[in-house]
Amino acid sequence: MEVDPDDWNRTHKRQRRDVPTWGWRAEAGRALVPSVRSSIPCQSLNGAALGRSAAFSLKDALQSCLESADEDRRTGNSRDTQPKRHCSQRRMSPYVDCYAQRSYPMPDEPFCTELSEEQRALKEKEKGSWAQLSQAEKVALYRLQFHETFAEMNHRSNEWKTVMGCVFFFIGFTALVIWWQRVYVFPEKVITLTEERKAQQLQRLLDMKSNPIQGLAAHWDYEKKEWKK
Amino acid sequence: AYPSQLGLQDASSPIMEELMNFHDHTLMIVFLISSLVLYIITLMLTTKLTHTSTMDAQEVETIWTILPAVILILIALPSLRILYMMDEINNPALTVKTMGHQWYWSYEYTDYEDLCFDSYMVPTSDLKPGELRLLEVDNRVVLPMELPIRMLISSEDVLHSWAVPSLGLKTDAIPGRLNQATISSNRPGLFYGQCSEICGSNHSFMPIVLEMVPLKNFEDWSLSMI
Repeated sequence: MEVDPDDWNRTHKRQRRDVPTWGWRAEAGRALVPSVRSSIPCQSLNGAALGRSAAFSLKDALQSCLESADEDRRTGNSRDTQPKRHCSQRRMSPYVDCYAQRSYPMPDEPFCTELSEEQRALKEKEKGSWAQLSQAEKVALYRLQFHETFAEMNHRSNEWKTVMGCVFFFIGFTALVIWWQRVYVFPEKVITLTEERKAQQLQRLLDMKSNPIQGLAAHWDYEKKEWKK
Repeated sequence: AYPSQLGLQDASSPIMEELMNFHDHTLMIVFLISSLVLYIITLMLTTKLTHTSTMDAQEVETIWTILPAVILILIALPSLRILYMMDEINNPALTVKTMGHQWYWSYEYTDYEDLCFDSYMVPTSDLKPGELRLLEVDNRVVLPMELPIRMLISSEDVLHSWAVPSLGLKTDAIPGRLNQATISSNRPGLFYGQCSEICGSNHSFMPIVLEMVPLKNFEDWSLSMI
């Protein structure tokens, strides 16, 4: 079943407050997203790679990109603050806008925006039939578009060992503190806590038949003078 | 009561039996809700599925608004029933007044003659072998068993609270106010309680001991005390 890309985007795309998500501004923004961050207009390349229908032609995109760049220079906006990424550079987190996550697997822009000559040639080849791409070329295109594979993105870490280690360390430290308290802080035990006194108290409770229904005296066999089995 | 006891003490009055059943009913509801919530939390924490564009969820919101209201009604109905049961008219055979002081209780049996005495805690150093620490008093409150008795509770200085858990009693002792409770014990014996409203440094050291005895024994005792 063919999914209408605009409809899919509207329902599945994450909503960012400062970026309009509908209307002509949104269309312009979506068309310009790759090229806003760099001076190379690669909107049409990205659109073709992801299969989205381009809202603007390449010429229009280039025109509006240059206009917005002029405006930025006039007003002092520095939209070009993102470092241009080469394929060999890895971006640090938390650039989640352009960084695939398990919860947001299709980021807005490709991972590499600055393409070398052969990469641009590869992008041109991508516009043709995909059956003619070799396995290595497909992998290269994937690496251009995405930072990590799903396997790399979802891999587990050894953080739990550090966490458990720290937990056990602090439990041990607490045990030492409690031991010190028992030796140096706590006062003498009360006389009623000796075994003899506890036995006498228990005998008194049984004699007065305290809680004879389901409690203490209910478990004592008064005939045999022992606990009920 | 015994060390590391978990549940309520055995009921010695019909009201306490009702309260124990209500406690079981409410605790069951609490356990059900808690286990459901715990299960849902574990589900939330152990899933790899994500959904970042939830807008509304009208059906489940309706359910989790109506269902807690129903559960609360199920708890409230037995609760109110017991509340009104406690206030039933029962023609008490005896009236005893207790006044809370810092830090002892005083009792007045003034129906026929004037019998008044104070009830101080026995200090730990003066305990006889077998007596319970912080719970024994020098003069116990002797009362006839199996008869409804009216307790009028008040205070001479600060707030106290006269509580005997096995009979299901806890009534605040408020200076300048008279509060009423009804005692009716099913069986003879000693029933312990402690002051249940913070009243100063010795708040933990002013216990209450009720000694429920057959009517004949009660009459002999009150004659001996006058």
